[in-house]
Amino acid sequence: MSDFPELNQLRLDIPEATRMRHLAAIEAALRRRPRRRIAVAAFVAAVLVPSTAFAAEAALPGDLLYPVKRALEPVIGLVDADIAATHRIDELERLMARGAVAGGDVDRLISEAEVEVQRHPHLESRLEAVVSDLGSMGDVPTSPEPSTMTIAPTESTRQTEQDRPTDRTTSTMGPTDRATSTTVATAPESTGDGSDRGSGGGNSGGLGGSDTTRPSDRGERP
Amino acid sequence: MIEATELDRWTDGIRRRSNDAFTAVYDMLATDLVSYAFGMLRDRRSAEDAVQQAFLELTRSAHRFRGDGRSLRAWLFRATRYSCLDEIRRRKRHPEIPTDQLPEKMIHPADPDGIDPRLESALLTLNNRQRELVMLRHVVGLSGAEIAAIFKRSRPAVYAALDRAETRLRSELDQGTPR
Repeated sequence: MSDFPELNQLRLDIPEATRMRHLAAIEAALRRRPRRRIAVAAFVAAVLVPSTAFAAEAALPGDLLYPVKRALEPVIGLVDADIAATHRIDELERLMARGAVAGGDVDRLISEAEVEVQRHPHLESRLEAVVSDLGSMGDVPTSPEPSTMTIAPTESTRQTEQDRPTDRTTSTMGPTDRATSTTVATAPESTGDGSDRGSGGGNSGGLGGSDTTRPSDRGERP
Repeated sequence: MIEATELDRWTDGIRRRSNDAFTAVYDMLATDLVSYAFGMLRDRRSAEDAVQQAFLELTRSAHRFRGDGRSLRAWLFRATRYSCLDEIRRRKRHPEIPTDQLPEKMIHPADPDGIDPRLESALLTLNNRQRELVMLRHVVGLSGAEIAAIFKRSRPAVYAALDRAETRLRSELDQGTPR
């Protein structure tokens, strides 16, 4: 610097007003969050939220992401009004495909689906079909009807069963046959095999109860 | 000129985006930075704006800063330089900007009549890079190594360029013929 003392006149001072203005701008900038953190947060949100929502779409009751699925339904419902009803029916179908039996989740889903379907009647037939299928498996508890008792073994049939005690257990019963055994199980003298199902299917009427009076079922009875 | 070691104690605060650290660093370096920017832009207000932009850029990048006080000073000079280059490019793109904002002459703030005409004409014989080197070395007082860090050039290259600039400036000043 000593080689060019003339250059000292180019050295500027910062006026106090300028200093205060600059420091105020710096302080304001420091109060804002760094861009990178915002960018990372936005990236994470952009990646995780859709992927989580996509993964949650397939969740069933009891799954880790099922609460996420339920939480997103009101949001998706803004553009897809019957999303909740559709989800409940889908869940019932998938639980049925997994061989679910009547119980907490299925009963609750049916109740919720019925509530949702009331607001979206075009899904009513689909729900009925699902519940009917469940009922045909003997898994759906429905309201008791006298008709279920009418097919309880009469004295003659009881006598016949006593004669042929292995008919039910050894026969190759398909899904519809299980309903038959359910109904039979409601009889006081039913076998242990039938009584296990009878506790859940004894009130099988409504959508599922009609199966108990199918001609084919009756035809198989002794 | 502030010693780099005095800046060392504030680098952690800068990383933590501490307002106290930014204020301290500003008070230590703003005069040097504005003087350097003034040499590039030949306009006080633009020079002040360039320095402000450099510090605002530091607020955005502080969490990534790694280094000591010397690195911090080089970073701020580099940021100021980029702000000045942006301003120079902007002026080229928008020549319609009123000329009263782009003084032909360097106006020293303490002297409304301007700087020594002999010095001004001598500086104008240098190209932009040479003028920058002279300002950093003889007005701000940076070492050749620090200037090399700002320009991201090797020290020998900086020393060679600085030597050419000094020789020319001395020659012009000794001639004493204002242009």
